[in-house]
Amino acid sequence: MLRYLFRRLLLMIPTFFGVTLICFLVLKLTNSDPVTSSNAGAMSGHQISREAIEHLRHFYALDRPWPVQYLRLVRRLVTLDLGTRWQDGRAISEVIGEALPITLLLSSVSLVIAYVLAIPLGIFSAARRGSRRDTVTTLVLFMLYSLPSFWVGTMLIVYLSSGRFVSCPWLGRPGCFPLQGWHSFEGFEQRTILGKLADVLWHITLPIVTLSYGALASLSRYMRMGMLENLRQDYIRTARAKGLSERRVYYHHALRNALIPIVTLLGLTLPTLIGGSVIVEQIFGIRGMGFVALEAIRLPDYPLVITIVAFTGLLTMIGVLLSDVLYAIVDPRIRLQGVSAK
Amino acid sequence: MRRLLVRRALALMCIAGLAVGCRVVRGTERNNHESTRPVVLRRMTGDAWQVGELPSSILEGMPRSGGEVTVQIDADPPNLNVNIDSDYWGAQIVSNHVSESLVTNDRYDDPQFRIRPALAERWEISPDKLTYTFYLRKGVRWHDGQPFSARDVIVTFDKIQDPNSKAAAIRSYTQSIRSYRSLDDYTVEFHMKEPYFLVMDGVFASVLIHPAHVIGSMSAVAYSEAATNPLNRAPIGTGPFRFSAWKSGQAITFVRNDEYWGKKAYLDRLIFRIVQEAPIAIELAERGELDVVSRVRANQWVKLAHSPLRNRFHRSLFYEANYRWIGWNLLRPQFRDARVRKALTMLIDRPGIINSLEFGLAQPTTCPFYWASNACDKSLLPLPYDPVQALTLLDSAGWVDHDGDGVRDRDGQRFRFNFLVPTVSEEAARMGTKMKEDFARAGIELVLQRVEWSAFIRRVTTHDFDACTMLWSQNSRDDPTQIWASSSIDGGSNFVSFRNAEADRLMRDARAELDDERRDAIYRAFGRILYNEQPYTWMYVRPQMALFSKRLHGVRNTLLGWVFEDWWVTEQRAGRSRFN
Repeated sequence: MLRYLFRRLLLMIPTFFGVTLICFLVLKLTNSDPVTSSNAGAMSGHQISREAIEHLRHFYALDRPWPVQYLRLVRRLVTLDLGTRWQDGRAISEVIGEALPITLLLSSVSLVIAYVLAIPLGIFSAARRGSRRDTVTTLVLFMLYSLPSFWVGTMLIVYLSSGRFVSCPWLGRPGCFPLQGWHSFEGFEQRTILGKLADVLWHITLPIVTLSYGALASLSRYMRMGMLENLRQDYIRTARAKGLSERRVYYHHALRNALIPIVTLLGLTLPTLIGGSVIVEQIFGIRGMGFVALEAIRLPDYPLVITIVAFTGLLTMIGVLLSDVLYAIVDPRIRLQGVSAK
Repeated sequence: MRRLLVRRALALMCIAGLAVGCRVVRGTERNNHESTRPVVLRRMTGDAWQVGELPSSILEGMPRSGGEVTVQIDADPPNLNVNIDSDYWGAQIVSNHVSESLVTNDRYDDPQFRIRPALAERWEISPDKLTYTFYLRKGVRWHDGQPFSARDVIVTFDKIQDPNSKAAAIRSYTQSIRSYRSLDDYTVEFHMKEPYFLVMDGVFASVLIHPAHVIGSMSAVAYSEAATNPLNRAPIGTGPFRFSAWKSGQAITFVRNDEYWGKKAYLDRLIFRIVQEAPIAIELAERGELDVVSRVRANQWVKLAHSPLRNRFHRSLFYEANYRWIGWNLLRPQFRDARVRKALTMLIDRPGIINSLEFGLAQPTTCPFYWASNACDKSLLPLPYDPVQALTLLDSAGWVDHDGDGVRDRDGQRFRFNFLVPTVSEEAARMGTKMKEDFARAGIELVLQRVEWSAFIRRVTTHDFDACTMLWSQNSRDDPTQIWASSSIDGGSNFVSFRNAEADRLMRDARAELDDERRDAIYRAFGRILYNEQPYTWMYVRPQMALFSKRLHGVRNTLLGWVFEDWWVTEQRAGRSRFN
């Protein structure tokens, strides 16, 4: 097990270089130049003068050959001296430090909600397979799964936040939910801890709904499939033949095995936890990681894009590793030595 | 005609009670000339809301101290060090309000924008126009209480002039400085390389002075970066507002500086709230969470015409200094003949484009300068949209469809060209599509090429295009050398390779002419050359549209930004008390 872990960790090093190099080259290939793109649309003649452009290119070391630029970026990542972002000269660690907590909050809460709802829902549909209730659930979930989040988010705002269709008069303002942000614009600082918590919860309700319904739909399908597959197995027939109650058959025998794929999926969601959702953050005006990443790519801000990509890449690798390990833990039939000895 | 309307409107306004406003503020150094500001009427029909004019009543009444105002901005400025990054919002927020320069343009004095004292209470310019001596105001204190002196000026210029600093854009002006020194604690002297009319505007009214006790020990690189220069996120200035807080992506807050050396501001707090999406901003205004929606899009403007918001807001339409142009690359054989370029202009249905693509809100122009400035020859009317005359011109230039394939040709070359358009501009793409149809009917083949912005910039700066379109943003006074001089073909912004000896001479003469009237006369002659040569097709000036809450007073649109220190409010904002 340890040897396996060690080998997997070693493999991360070349993967890290591969990920950052590809990311850097893709940015280079887009042909966009952070120096001139910083002021898109209208410009004055002076800003575009070649002299001004050369100065800025030199300032950002963009006049060096690309391998040098790449190595400078990688050196920074490896030494954890992330540097400053080009857009505004702020320390990258500070920018990420500001954006990460809110993204983590949004994605972890929506993930928990998705899991908590998906598992019972999956079991329920599996237990009543073919019944009308199962058909309806399947249909509804399938519809949810097909609805794009940008549309759902906008509709939620239009119907619940604008106050034109649904209103909550007791809130003393139009609409039942806020339009923007993850906390109140005014008076937030003056609130008590509980007041702040309530305010944040109220603000993130719609984003969380938007973030979780898709995951809920797909997760519950996985759950249902897993249950059904296990219910067909011989050991279930044996269990039933032993005279065990249906309850015990479901929750003790079938469920434990059906959970395996769901639990391993958890590891793979790790990168999305910090990656944030560009679309949802944009719609709800929340400046999380997705927002920051989008801004960085637009410029493009090489140091920041590379940092985010490397960070997400690292988490993906850890996530994959974690799900493999989880797999071995949840399912006693799998031995990792066996895998690595191949 | 326009000038006449202007005068009549001015007279009307004075009768109609602007005088009250004048009397209240008269006596303060900065405002006693305000009745001289020209007023431009766009349309004579409809009420103030319909035409987008701020009513004169907004300037009436007795200003009152106190209250706060929330202004929408649509993006975080990169930083608040405007010397480093001349971002639009950064400059709007900081210049004159938080940080100050040695002198300043009178913001109400449109279109002259004469120079007024700021941190320098007076100045002298030597007869050879090479030495500028500034006598600094005494008793001015930085927002942190430290005294202001000549050392602050010297240190600030040291940072900007250092080639390692990021101040590349402003250095295109400050490179005209040969040397500078302080004569004593309150006198600084600048020696220039050549006499240049933009020295005041571009250098002394633009460079914001920073406190030496904060930036003195920094390297020029450290001065440029927010991570190392605290002033970039939390400016310490000498202006009427002092910085309070900046929460990224949410708001930047300022409070009144009660120790300000000049006329103090009325507002207690000034909040810039970052709201990226325009529809959301209007929604927030409706809820009373915003007093100013500063970016209303043309389609929303039209929709707002009959909105109930008119009871609580003023709608304002203001033409800034900019123009959209289509450039014809004069190195291409198709565009070498001025007759052809005129024909192309006449083939472009500019009124139609303004009406359909710009919702009738843009304003035609033919001027390479700020449209209202005296450097514009107002008698040069836009060439008419006249396809018939255009065809005659094309025929006379030898572009005839010899082989009958529907496309004109000359010497075996078909009249075909690429129209380069940046992908960021939806407006330019739609314009290109419309032009393509019109040109096809005239036997000219236009190929629309959309490229990403920085590729666009690279291609226009290397003259690798046939025709292109862009929007120039301008200043109240501009030096056209950067865009039109033959010396700017290589390295400057003369993308179309315009080369005209007479124009070069006029631009050279104008540079050393410090007298506005004489220089404007030179520039009018220069404008006539451009008009006859048509290296660009001048399209239109785009307006800036905004909403102002009716509780706001003292508000005027100026080319150099809003004068927040003259704003005051009558009542508390409605609709926020219960919830917060």
